[in-house]
Amino acid sequence: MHKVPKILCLATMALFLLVMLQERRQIISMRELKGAYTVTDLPKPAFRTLADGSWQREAEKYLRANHGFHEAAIRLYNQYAWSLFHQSTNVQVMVGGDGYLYERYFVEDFHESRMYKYTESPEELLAKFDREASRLAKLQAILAEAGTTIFVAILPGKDQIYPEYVPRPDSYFKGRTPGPRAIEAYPALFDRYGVHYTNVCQWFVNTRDAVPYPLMTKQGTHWSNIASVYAFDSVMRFMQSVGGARIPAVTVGKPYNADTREPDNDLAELLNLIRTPRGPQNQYADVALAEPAGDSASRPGIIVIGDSFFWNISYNFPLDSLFRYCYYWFYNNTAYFDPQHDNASQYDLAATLLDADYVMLSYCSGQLYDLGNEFISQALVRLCYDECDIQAVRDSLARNVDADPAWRQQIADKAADQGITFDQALRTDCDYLIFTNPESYFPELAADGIPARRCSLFLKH
Amino acid sequence: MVFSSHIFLLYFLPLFLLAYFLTPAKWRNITLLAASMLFYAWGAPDFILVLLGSTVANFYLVKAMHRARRLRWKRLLCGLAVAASLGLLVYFKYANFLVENANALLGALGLETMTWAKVLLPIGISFFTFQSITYVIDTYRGINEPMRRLTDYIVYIIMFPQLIAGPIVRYTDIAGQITAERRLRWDECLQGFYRFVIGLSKKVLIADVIGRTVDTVLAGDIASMDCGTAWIAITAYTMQLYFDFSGYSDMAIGLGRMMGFRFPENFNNPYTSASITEFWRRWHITLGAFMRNYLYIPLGGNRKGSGRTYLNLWTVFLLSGLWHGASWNFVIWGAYHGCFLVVERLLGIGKKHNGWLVLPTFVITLVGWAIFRIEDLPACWRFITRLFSFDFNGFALTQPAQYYAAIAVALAFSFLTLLPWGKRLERKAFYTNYRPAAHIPVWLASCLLLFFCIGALTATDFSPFIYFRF
Repeated sequence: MHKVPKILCLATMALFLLVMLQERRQIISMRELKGAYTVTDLPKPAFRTLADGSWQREAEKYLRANHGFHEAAIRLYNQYAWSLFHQSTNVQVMVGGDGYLYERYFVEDFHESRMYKYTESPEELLAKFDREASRLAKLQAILAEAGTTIFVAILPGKDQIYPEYVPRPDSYFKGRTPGPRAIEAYPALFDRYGVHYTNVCQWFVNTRDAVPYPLMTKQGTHWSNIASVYAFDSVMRFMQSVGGARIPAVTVGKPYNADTREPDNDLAELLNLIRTPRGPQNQYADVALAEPAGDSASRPGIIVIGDSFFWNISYNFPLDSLFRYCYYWFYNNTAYFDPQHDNASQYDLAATLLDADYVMLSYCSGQLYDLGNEFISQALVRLCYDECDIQAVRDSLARNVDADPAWRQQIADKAADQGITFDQALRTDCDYLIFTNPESYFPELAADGIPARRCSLFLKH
Repeated sequence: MVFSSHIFLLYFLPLFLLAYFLTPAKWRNITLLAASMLFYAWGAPDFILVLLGSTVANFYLVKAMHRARRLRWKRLLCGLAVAASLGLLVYFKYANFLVENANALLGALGLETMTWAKVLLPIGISFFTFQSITYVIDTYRGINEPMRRLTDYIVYIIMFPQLIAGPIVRYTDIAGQITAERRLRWDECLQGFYRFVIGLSKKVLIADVIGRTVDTVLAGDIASMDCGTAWIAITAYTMQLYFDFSGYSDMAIGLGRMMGFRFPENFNNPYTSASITEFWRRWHITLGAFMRNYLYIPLGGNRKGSGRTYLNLWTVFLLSGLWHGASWNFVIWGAYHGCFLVVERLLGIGKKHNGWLVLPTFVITLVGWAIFRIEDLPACWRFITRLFSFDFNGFALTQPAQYYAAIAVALAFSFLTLLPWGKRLERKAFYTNYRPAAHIPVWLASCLLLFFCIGALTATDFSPFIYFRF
């Protein structure tokens, strides 16, 4: 018995060594944590970074995220916070009334605080909305000349559909002055500029209590699978009413109850508990073609630029049979459903747009602030100007950089940080300036009315 | 580096203990010295040389002081050593404050202000300078002989368990433990481990939980805060401060015990005090001892008549307030406590523990912590007026449930020892050496608690998105 303290001390040391070994070698496999997060690497120490303490800070960050058994430690604490206090430790997941889970940005939007992600000035935000709507109207007109229809689908946000369960602002916000909201500003702007849009969000608000199934799930951030089915069925009818290119008809089967599927409980998964709470069963409905698909050449091609709400549509609809192709550019960045491209930047944008029959900008109310993710201005420039015109602007900007040592140094530092050449960093910077503010470099785009200029590919089309 | 960090808990501490236990007894101070230097340099690489330089200089000054035959030289060298330590503290901690106030005065008089590059504060300077001063003065007074080895002295000053936040350990309290070969005992090591885990839990599971919310509340609109919210906020801060500071002391004491040291206790259920006098015998005990031994008594203590006693008391607390921070609110806080000490002396309160006075003493302490916490004096005054506004319009419990639960648990533990069984429980948890068999469940519980604390530290910083957005 007198050896017990010695054994326990040695056991304690062994446990610590096990934790270190787990961090280095992953000797015991652990259930992975859910969600998207950046995996940090242990930085290489250097005299300068050790002396100024920056290496130590990075090493601590690395350890915090990667120490041995961190998955189990996180789940244990999260389960405690959830089981005892019904609280989420993940700031991205907020717990509202009756166990409804909300993604943070929906709560910010509901409490009119979303503006602060972009600017402190309401006027600046409203000007941004106006600018984007105006650009979109010009793009719509230009694409219409080529027989391509662009439209916006405003999708529902959970705060819009279930406002009564939204978490209170006092707990999470510092009582900021309310700012303008995209979901209120954009429909009015689209009406003013004549932009094609369908307000699925408003439709959901109006019909929420009239339908026998939940439009958004309790534990997910997106519309429910069944809601997305009925919604996209209507969106396709809208598409054809403004565009004309025919899409094969579909039938929607009878709704049925089933255990919650992905992504109907994605927020619950994001809590990273030991046991993910089981939400209520949800409704689903199967979609089938009502007519033969026919030759793919007869079907329209569609490009979808948008947020993650389109995933529900892709799970439920036979997109290969409805469209010649359906490119999905996730936030105008990662490209899906095209084996030849994995990023939107890899496409010849003008050629792709001219070939498409439909372009859908698909954003929920909370993401509408980033409508298009710069797609609209990129498309305007590419359709109106050739690469040589854009290169001329780049060359002019490069001359400005050469004349400004501070700017040049900034770009050199960026290049060093990202491990790319100075020229690559310079081009990235120039493209950022050109495509976020094209009117400064192509004055014709700033003028009222539709620009007359077209790129040579457009003229050949 | 802080005790409640992953780098300390999962790497530094286990590797240090492994090295320490494997080192032969006569070399353990060297291992401890190397680890302490790494500990300090990790977070403050700029200041390690300042720390070492001042420590080495102090060692040789004290040696010379002890060797000096004439009292005049002894006094001079003692004064020089103390002045050097205080000078370091004044420069790094108070120079910015002094310049700011001088510039405010110059500006008010229409004169040109001084340009000044702000000085950064080396971590732990308030503690290691005071610890150096105790060594100087105790050696001067003949209470102890100066240390023979420089390395032992540096270990005494900078050993990492108490370097950053105390307790302020007098050399006489651990002289034998530093210079003699410490015999490590497995049961002592375990007891130290349990104490460390208790301290970590107090900090991570109570203080940090409360702190996250109370910071937001106190950063809000104080002018329109209702009375209920104000009282809950200041009670929360009171608990946060106590559990954070006492938790850190528990961790320091636990670490010391693992290495074979017995550090003095720093807290003794201060909120069960029935007077401010008693409060300062229970709160930050080692600071109180320092102020008594090296400031109050040299000023004359209570030996020069009542008037001088009250002045001495008030002066000591004024300076004690200033020691806590370079800002006027700390000075006012010190003066606030000094006033109550004087009043209690006048009224004869504090000589005996009167249970009826526990609550009023707690309220006085709460108001004092409001002054301590809110640096902006107009905002502090507004907050205090809200406390006594009795305006409960708009009061609602809108903060996270975990915040209220942590406050409730903290209050329960803070006043537990008012009950006899509470005192027994405390003795069992903190001061009892367990029988071998009893170690097993306690060890299991401690390991689980430690893992849970690590989970808390990791989880509260882990907020993944559903998808990456661009």
